[in-house]
Amino acid sequence: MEASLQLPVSKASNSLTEFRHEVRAFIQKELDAESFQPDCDSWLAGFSREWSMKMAEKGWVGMTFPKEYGGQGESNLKRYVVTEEMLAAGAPVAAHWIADRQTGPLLLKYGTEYQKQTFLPGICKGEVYFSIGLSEPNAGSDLANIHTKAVKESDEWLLNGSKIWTSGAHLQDYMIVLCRTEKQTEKKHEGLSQFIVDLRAKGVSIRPITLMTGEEHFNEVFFENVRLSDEMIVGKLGEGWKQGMAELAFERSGPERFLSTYPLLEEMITVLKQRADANSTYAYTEIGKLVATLVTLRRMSFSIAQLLEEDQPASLVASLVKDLGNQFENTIIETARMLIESEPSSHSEQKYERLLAKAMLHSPGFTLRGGTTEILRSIVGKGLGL
Amino acid sequence: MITIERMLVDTTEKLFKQTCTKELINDAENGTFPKTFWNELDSMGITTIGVPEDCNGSGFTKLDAFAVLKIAGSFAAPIPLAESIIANWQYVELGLPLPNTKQTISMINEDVDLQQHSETWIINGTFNRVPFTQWADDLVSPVKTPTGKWYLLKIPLNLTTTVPDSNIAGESRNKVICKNTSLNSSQVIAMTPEHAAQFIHETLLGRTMMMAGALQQILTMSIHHAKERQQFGRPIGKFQAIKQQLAVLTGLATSANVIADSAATATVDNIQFQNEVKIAKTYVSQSISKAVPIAHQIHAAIGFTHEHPLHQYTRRLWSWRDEYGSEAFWAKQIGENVISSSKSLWKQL
Ligand SMILES: Cc1cc2nc3c(=O)[nH]c(=O)nc-3n(C[C@H](O)[C@H](O)[C@H](O)COP(=O)(O)OP(=O)(O)OC[C@H]3O[C@@H](n4cnc5c(N)ncnc54)[C@H](O)[C@@H]3O)c2cc1C
Repeated sequence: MEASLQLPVSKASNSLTEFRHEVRAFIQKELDAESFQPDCDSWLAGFSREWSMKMAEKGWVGMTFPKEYGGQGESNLKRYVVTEEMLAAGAPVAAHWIADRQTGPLLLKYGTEYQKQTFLPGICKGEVYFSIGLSEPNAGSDLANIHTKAVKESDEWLLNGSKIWTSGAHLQDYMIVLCRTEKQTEKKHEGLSQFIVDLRAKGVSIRPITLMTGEEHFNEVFFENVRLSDEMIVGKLGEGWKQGMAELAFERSGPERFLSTYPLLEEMITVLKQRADANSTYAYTEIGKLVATLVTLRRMSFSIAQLLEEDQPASLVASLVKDLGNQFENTIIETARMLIESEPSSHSEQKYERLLAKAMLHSPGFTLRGGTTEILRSIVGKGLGL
Repeated sequence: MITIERMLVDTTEKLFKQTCTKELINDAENGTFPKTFWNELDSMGITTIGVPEDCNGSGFTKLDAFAVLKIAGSFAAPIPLAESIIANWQYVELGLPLPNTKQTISMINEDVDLQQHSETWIINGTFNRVPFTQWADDLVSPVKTPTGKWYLLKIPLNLTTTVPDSNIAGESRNKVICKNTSLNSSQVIAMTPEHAAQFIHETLLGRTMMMAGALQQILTMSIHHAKERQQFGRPIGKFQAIKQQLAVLTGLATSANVIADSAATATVDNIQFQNEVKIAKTYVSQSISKAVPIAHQIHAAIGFTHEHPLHQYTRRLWSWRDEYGSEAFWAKQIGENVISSSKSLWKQL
């Protein structure tokens, strides 16, 4: 097998297992106090400032960041445990998700001392939230085709253009904007840079785009002569593409790529346990297949967390986790329909039917966000040397 | 060859195209009954297709009615058209006059109790997930008594309590509760088990035709999008990955339409009709779990917005596939019948 496809078998240490119990106890306490309602796709749709701050109090937001910036200096593996437990419980973690997963590590790797000191402590307190400013109307899969540009005028940059599909921008504080700082040439990936943009700055306007579910989630964000200082450039000018791509392994291999519909699976099993006709061979078989897939995906994703902890390349296997994980998320929905005769309904008295509706209505996003399945598969093909 | 009335189909299609717009559907989902649209359909006689003209219907055949329901599905029509047409058939077949009120129907009623006291009947029980009750005057439902007798009930909805709910397409699917509801003998009509079975299967086929129509529509939209949307300097339809997916979607939509049309023409006898309808509902419902994700994948982010009309079809497909029994429910019956038969599968087909 290709070396890049060999994943180490990683097992959780005893202390990690103990830590997992601590996280579970915290979640159980909150569930008992009914401080949140478990929901599907909670890392995208469950925006709760209160919850993010509660997690931060435990030291679980930005926990891998060094102590001097407000973090805990903990390992990626511990962070893995926290994210996994939160998603399995369907906790509302969307507010800080991007800052914790992506922006923090980006700034730690490429940011200036000023940027680290300015932004990281707020992230770790669960108070400062970031969004991802990549896609534009004509730059979806063909991301390098972006037209938003920053032009230097005396000692400031003027940002003009727009971003689209920006998750949470209407509720968040900053955006990492990928834009052109040099004229587009044949080499589309060059001349792109990353800036930190204050979403409340003059010249920024945000228009929420209603989802097919009726919820407000993603946005169109317009920049009109937004003034940026040099201090807001992340890393090197013109290196934005490379810097952004480096984070994709984190973005694509995490448990959010296979646990978006997990609360439905848990509820499905609860319902099956209560039903006399549940102990059919068919139900056993289907649940068994889901469990085998889930365990495999967890092992795979955990191994990648281990690789990332050791600073090893993992973008190819990360794409595999996302693809397999997204398929699993959808299989849960279809299996639920096969095993329990019911109809999805957002207002049902039954939790099971509500979770089914939420999972179904959010399912089109799974295989699009963070890179479409088609794009992921072509990355895998390239990785195989095809 | 069995033919459907081309003129009827064409004029109906034209009317839907002009009137059943994205905005009309949104408004309906927000609770506004599309009155003008409905009245127009009514005045064209669309609500009484399949009812002979000498019974005050507009004539044509049931086959024509099913063709019209496919059109309704292909425009995501948010109206109780299938319900009204099918209710009207029952009235006429049981020798009752056509009502000039709006009808809805139910076939999910496990525990409805009927008590006869000379000229009046007392009804107790619950009807689940009844379509569009707020826009209808009567609920029409076949009910079986513990002694195995079937009756068709025509329950004025103002005598009932409703608990609102809806499917994920924003179409109301309410619970209707009868508590000591008193009906007169013209509202409780004895029917044969065969007639009740016919009602149930016509209802199933109505949904199936609508799904087939909506599947055609998401295929059309996906082909259009694949030709229009450009990435990497060319239409996304030029990429192999998209071509392959569109080919699969085309296969699903086409085959679903074949079996739906075939069921609609299976009029040789009751048994053949019922078997074919079950197969069609199973196959079409089943195809949706593959077809809808493809349509969404091709449209990508734009298809995930409320502004784009794709979701008006996909949310309906997700809802309708589970209504009146999902493919799991009907496939189990088909499988059970096949396995318990003494004949080989081939001889059962
Ligand atoms: C819920 C959700 C949240 C999102 N959040 C964010 C966010 O926070 N920030 C952000 O910047 N973006 C975000 N996005 C945007 C997301 O990254 C894009 O939707 C994605 O990159 C695809 O772009 P597109 O929608 O324009 O599809 P298109 O690029 O138009 O693609 C349409 C179809 O064509 C296929 N296709 C395109 N090119 C090829 C090719 N070369 N070969 C084969 N197939 C191809 C695609 O796979 C897809 O199936 C979000 C999207 C969703 C759905």
